Amino acid sequence: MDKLAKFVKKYSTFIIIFVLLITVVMGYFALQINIEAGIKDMLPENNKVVTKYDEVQDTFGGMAFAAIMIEDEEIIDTSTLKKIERMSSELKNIEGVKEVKSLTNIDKIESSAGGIEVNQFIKEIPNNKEEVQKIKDELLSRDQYLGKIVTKDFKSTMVLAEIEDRDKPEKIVNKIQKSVKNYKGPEKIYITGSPVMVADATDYMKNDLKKLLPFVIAAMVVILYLSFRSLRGVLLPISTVLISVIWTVGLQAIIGKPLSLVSTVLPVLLISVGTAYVIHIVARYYEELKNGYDVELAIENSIKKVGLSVIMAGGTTMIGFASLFFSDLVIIKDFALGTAFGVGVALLTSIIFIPAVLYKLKTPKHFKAAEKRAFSTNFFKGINKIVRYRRKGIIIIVLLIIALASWVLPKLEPNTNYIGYFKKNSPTRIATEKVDNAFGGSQSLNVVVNGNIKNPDLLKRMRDFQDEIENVKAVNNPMSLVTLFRQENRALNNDKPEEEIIPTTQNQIAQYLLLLEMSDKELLESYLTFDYNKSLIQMNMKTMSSVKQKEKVAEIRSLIDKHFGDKYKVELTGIPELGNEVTDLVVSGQIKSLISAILFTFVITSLLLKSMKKGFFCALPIALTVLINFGLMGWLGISLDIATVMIASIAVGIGVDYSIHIFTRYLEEKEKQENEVLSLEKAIFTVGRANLYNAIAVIAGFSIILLSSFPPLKTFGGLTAITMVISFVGALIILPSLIMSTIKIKNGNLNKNNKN
Amino acid sequence: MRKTKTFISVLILSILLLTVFFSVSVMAKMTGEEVLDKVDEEMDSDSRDFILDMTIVNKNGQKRDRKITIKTKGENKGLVKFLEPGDVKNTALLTREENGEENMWLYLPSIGNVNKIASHSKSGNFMGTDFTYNDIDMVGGSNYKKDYESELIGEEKINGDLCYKLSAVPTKDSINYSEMKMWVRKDDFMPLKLKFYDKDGKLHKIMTNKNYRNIDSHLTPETIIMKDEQKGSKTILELEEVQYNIELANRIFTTRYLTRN
Repeated sequence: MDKLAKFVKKYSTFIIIFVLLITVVMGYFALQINIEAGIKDMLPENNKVVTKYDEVQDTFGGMAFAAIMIEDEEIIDTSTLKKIERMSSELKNIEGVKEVKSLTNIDKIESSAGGIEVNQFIKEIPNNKEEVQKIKDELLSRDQYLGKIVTKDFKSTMVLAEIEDRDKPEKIVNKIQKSVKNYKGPEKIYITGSPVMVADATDYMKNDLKKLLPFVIAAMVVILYLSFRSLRGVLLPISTVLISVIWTVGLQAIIGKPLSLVSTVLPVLLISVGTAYVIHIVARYYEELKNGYDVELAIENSIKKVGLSVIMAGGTTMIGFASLFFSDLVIIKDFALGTAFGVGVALLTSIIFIPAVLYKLKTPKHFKAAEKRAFSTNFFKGINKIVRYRRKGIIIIVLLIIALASWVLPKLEPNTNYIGYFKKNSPTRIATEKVDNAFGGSQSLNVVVNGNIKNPDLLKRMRDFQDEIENVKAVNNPMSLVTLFRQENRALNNDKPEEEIIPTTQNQIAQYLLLLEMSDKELLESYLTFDYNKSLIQMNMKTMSSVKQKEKVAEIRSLIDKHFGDKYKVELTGIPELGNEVTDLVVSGQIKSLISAILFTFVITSLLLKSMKKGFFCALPIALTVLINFGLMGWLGISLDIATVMIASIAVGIGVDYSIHIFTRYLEEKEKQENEVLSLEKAIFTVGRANLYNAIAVIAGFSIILLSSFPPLKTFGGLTAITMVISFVGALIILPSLIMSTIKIKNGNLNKNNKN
Repeated sequence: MRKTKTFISVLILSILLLTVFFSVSVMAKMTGEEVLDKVDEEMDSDSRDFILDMTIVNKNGQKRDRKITIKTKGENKGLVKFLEPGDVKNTALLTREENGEENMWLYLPSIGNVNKIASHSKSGNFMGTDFTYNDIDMVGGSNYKKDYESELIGEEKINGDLCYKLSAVPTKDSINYSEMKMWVRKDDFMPLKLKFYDKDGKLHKIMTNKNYRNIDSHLTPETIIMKDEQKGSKTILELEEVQYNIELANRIFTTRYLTRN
């Protein structure tokens, strides 16, 4: 620390220029940061589920689509149909839109003059009532459209825009949304589908960043002003945390790590956590000035005396964040690296850049920070009393909380469903519910059957499987070659509805395929590979909670087993499968990162305090905090998701600071004076105050995340703020109570021994 | 006087020579339409009977092999029949142009049914290949002039053979191209390469004719490759047996005959 203080003094000008220069460069890159909200972006690149999804997407395409639902009193009329026709062709012209399927351009395999044709279902928009009625009658007789492209009551219809699988589907979606807007009224239009959700989420993320940053900066300004009552007391810490945010975002941009759903809170988090470090340095600086030192000595003393504790506190915070790296989810890994790096920057800026700037400034006129305030003094007196006289009550409460929390732990459920990222009344959610209700789901689930389709046995199994899927609730509209063959056979047999049956011999299948190949090659290729060896069964799935979704997918898996058994290899993929994988990784990641966070903290504190017992003491309140966090989640019905899964590790990283401060000060005081009880009291009064300001800044920061547009992030902000309160209280009341109890027990034993 | 006479004879001779030279150069400089005429003339035949191997290769290099026969009579009758693979054997397609209207029937032996197919399929894929029905018409050497209007735009060498280069525009709505470029060998008026451009003017397909052979005094390419530059797929046709100007009864080109094997 001595060397560091001298280094800062000698090179202050260089340090200031260097830091500002890097900040400018990083700022340039930070402005180019990408935002990504896709489900695939959450999962590791070589993940099996992702690979399978990509394979199926490459083979058959058509897994990413915007579902545009049009609702009106009457869909089948001239004006609405014309509108749909115009909209379909406008959407088709958008670059990146591969295909548009709507009522006005869907194909029909039909018989004509004793033959067969693949034609548009509606060849011409009807002009009068009779023509309208004719279309309605025909729709009612064709299962392949009802509930798929139009509802039975003719009040809703679907326009499906298939989007090319690219890196940035949001831009295509935004163009679609813009184009669709012009067609609203009197018809209502709703848009959803996975790429739309991702695009909407990206928009919300941008808004969140714009909205939350000013708020958190304002909150920090207020807290800093109340602490220091001076301009530099506000500006210096704020510049520090902004530097750390700019460097972090800049670095992420340079190494190509985009901001994700969870890292939207990264700037807010860095600002509130980073502010705490500067508070310690600047406060000490003012204190030293008040003690009569000149500027140079005051700075030197601040670095020497507070520098180490700030490094310790920041180090454990970095470890807490870094422990999230053990998660298997890419976005949480990136978040771990980003926050750990950002905290490191804030830490170094606090002890190097800030003192360097202070060297260049004149002595401040007043330094109220060090003055005592009546309120906080009374607060700490109260705490001291509790620790001394209500110890047993505290321990009983703690045991009670442990019991209550453990009771609900098994009830904790993961829920990572993408729709959960949107508020209940958000347009995205409303649209998804509408589509789910009218058309049986907006998520596409895909079953790929391996085996030569010309084999009648395989085709028969596919038919039986597909027919049974029709009876599965919340899974709808299975489409495959079976559907095409049935239509083909009907068309070949004078359009009799009872002729919707599949071919039964190899030759028949081969010839039906040849006919389809000649009539509409693209249609065939979206369900069958070129070598006839892979067929796709596509179905829609409603949006539901992750747990239910897993059960639903398991139900479909058991149907696959029932119908295909070991005879054919059958794969299942789709957005729901990606979602299930996220859920699994959330849970496995939670366990790994939590264990590693607590373990690392225990090891670090044990090493620093040179005793496993002392390390255990520091880790205990934080373990309790984590337990209470999960208990709260259980009792409040909050599920584990990509955001709440991070709370435990963050609580460990930040929360342990309070315990470290109290415990080290207690040990320091104990060396000075023999009386353990008085040492503890001294620790509560001195470090407790710094802890309080520190905690207020961090709690305020996390509370601001409550303003986020994403329900999981709101929950995350609120819960983390609560865990900060708990770990603060834990360090100030529970840890001292434990220490006090051990002192009493030890003394009691001594007394007993003396009596004997 | 004598001098004048000599002058006049020289003048006349010069004019004569110039005229001959001029007419020779005019003869060499054919128009696009004339080149197409010659192509059609060289390939013209009243009837044809081909057996060909058809290999369809998709963009991933996967292949489908088929063997078909094509019989044509006059300009308006055609019959395509599958020989291989076994599961589509005898599946057949009949085309007939009557009163300016194109009619197509398909026979599926497995259901013993003859089906009429929409005529707009003409610009659709021929049997799932990269050829349209219209393209396949040209393979046997049908009337280029009937469907295209062409212009000579230069001369270029293709694999060492000097060729006329034509730019042709379709005259029928049913042809889905905006332009066709064609390289015709000067020696024998055989088309070596054809490039087809889509309605947006982008290159769509390239057809290459290879290994011309003289069969019944008709030059016939043994290998024809159609490559779809946009989709990355291609179709290779290998002519196995070729017969020209043979007797083909009219009844072969009826729906009733379709169902006979």
